[in-house]
Amino acid sequence: MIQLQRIEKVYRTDRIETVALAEVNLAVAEGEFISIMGPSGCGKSTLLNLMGLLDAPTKGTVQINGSPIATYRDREVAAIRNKEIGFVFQVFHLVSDLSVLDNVQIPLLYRRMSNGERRRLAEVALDRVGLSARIHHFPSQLSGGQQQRVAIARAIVGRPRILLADEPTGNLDSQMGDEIMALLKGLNRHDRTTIVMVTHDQQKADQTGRIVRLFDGRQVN
Amino acid sequence: MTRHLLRLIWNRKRQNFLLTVEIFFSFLTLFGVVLFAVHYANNARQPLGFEIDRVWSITVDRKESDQDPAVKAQHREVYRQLFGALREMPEIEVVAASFTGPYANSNWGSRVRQPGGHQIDHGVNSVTDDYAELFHIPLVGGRWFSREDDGATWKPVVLNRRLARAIFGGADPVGQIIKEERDPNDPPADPNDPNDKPEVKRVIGVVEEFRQNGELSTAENYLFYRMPLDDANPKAGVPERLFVRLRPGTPASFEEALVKRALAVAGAWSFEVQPLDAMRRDKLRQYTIPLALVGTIAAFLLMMVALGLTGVVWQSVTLRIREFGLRRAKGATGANVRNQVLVEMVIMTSVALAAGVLLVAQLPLLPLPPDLRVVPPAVFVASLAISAAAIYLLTLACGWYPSRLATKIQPAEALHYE
Amino acid sequence: MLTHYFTLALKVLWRRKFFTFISLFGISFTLLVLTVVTAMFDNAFGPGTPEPRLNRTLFVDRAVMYGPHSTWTSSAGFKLLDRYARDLPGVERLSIYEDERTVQSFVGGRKIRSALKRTDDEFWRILDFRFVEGGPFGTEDVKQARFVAVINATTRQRFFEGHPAVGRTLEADGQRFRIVGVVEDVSEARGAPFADIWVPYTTAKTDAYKREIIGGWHAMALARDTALMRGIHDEFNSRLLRVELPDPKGYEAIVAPFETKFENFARNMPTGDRKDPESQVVRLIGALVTIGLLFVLIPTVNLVNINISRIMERASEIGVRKAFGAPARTLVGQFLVENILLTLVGALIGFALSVLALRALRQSGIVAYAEFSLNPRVFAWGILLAIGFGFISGVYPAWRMSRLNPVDALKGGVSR
Repeated sequence: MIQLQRIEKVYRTDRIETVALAEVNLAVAEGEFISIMGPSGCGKSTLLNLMGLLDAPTKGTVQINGSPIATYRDREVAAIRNKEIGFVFQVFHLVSDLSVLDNVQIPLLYRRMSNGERRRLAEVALDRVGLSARIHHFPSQLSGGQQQRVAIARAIVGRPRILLADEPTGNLDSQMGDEIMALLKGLNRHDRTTIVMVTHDQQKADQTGRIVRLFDGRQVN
Repeated sequence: MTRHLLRLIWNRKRQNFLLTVEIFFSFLTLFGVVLFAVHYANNARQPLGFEIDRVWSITVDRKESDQDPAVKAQHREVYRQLFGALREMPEIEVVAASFTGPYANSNWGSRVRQPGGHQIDHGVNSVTDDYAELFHIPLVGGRWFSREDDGATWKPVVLNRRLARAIFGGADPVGQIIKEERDPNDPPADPNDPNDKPEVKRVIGVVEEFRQNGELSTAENYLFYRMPLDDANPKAGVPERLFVRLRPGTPASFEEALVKRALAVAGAWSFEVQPLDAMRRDKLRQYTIPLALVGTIAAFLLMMVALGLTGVVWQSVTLRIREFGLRRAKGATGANVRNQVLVEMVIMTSVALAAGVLLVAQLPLLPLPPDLRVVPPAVFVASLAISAAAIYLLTLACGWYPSRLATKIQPAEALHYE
Repeated sequence: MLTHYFTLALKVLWRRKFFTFISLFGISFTLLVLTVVTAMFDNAFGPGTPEPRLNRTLFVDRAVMYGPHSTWTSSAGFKLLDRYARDLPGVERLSIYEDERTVQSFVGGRKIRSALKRTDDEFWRILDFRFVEGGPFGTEDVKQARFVAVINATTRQRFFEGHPAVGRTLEADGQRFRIVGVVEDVSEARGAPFADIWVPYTTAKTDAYKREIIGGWHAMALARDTALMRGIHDEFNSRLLRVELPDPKGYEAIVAPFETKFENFARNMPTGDRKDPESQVVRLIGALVTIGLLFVLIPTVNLVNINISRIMERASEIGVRKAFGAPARTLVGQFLVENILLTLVGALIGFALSVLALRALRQSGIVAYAEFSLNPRVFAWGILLAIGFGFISGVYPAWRMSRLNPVDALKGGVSR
């Protein structure tokens, strides 16, 4: 599903070079649920961003579905992100000026379909996360857990085969965190969605199929 | 500290560049308006050189060009009759005639070509002997035109002080002949034509000043020729307008009688009467209306810029809450943080002004409207100073409120944003 | 998709009222100025009463006689037009008329100043005046030099307190005319048709004008077809090469081209070469576009700065959209739609303000009988200008936004 080979990521500013990742090799098979763990600043998020094609590696190749991403041309990368990948963020990143329904429709805006179809798919996704009753609310009117469920609905509305979650439970209390974990596990089990999750939380990581540990930009096994 | 701030501004150069550009253009706009305003204000303080109380102008349309010397002679005769007829009217104190006159919309320019080729431009007018009395033109040397000049072998001229200084320097101009060189572009003199020889101009008098276009116009060199209505030279000019000064208390309705009287003498001509104070009002408007228009537009532009700058600085303070919070956490006082915002503003403004001043300094090399080509250096510098000060004030005012916001940022907020 | 952008744009604008106010203030003021200028131009150069066929009307408004040392610039002379401008191929009608002159009349001790224009009878056939009363003077009136006059409504008001005037007389410049028609006022900005009083040119006080080749007179030609206008212009120019000049030593040639009103205006530019019979329109348009661009420079830079601030505030939204597959071009489109929507709202406010400004200008009397108005043509121009303004001020910020790295954008939009 996702293959990373000999990945290196270096951040350059005027004077300093920071090595965020070095010599990372990782293969994620279809239907896997992986968690990435490690201390702050070890490069977890960078790794996730590379898998999500939000960033290009300094060295090495990224393959999605067996085809290597050779050129990071905006139009092509955007199309892959749109069809294959869904994101869930720690701080939700809902657009505060849009209603729940509109927020969930965002990925569909960049596909060719009618407004009615977009709305229908968004309603299905919201039903899936149990928020059918709140489609006309605005993010500020929802609790943190509800907001994260909207974010998950948004991530799955386009039926991507890969879900990338950056500390999805990091800003939630434990009960809400458990709800979110249950949702993710369900998606993985019933829809065979491949999930890669970054987390601090050993207990949450233990619920996933495999744990990848990073330290100082390198894989630790 | 300053170096640190400079580096910070440099690193934010992309954001600051467009703001600087905006300040730069605002400065140019403001300078343009201020330059006009200061120039006019400065002009208004200079002496005018004439008085227009109770003076009416009568523009004469003779309906026929006077290329033909015979037509000219005939027109001159009609003028003599008009003078006679108008002087008989008890309401009229003085009558004079001239080619052009104060606040008229026609200007006549010429130049003196000195030996060596140096040229001095000046305004000109041809006038009858009563012109000075009618307009109360104060003389500062010599005398005005009179019957004494009949039959003179030279052409008597009266200069304003400015032109006298330009031609003769410090020497006393009265009685002097203006030395002139023939323009090499002119065709050579025709030896068979007794009138085609260089005229000898002799200065008989100097007036303080004569600013034909009025209070707001730029003072310029000026020269009067004598235009007697019984000139023997067939090529001599014919007046285009009459001026009359009325006795105190003459009502405005006298105009009808005046026009009737003129038409009785010269029925084929047309006469347009205008009180000179009305012409003065119109003329001043020609200066003030464009200034008011441009000034209004500039004021709105600057207001727009001020609001825009406030918004942008405000936004950048909100975006930089973390940076300011960290500074507070590391011991910077509220005033320090406020000053940082204001210093950034001052530096951007200074860069914009430096570029602006550099550009404006090229202005004297550009083709400007003639009225502005002679802006005195003091006016130019004063306008620069005023506009620069105003722009500093404007940008600081725009930075003031957002910078107050910056002082209120608590270190805790910085952590919150982390 | 558009509705999505629309509702979002409105919400964002509503939430940041201060920014929206600044933007709208700048946009509406800029468009106010542009609209007022366009309306003034339209008043002078656009077709309208009494010049519905302006697109195939040519004028000789200016003659330049020049020699090695002197140049004499004036209107053309009667003799020049009468002898050389008649019977030009392609001309349907030709009118010769004088500069309007200010004349004075006294009614009950009150002075009235009017603009008086001496014209021929063809004048009334080329132009379509709206007659309130009576009609124009005709061929016989001109031939017989009858003292008849057409006056405008304002003159009727001044002389007769608005009572019917046909058949009554008025005195102007020492001559008495019988009124045969009253027309609606015509804006001074239109030039050729403008006057308060029109009388047959044969009533002039002397016939000296018949001997002049320069000064005082104008010609107006209605071409059969717009395609023939160039030929009329060229033919008249070549005829002028044969003119006998009054002072061959002083002057060698006379230039008095038949041109459209706009071309004539271009000829009056201070930098224009008056001796060149060819049109100066390209230079004029260049100058106008330059002035226009200089004027919109500050508002544009201002709006660009505000837009950048607005975008940086929405960095997280941009990050999300990018993460979910929005191509850069789509984001640029989204922001441009938003910005053009904003400028259109500003344009509407600007239009409302310019109605007020134009009314004030009309009442100021700077231009007599001006009919500055927001007609559909000016309105269309304004909308076009607004869209152009919105586009230009939005392109750079939108480009910056689309280039934003999604990772940075999600962190809060620190772009360096």
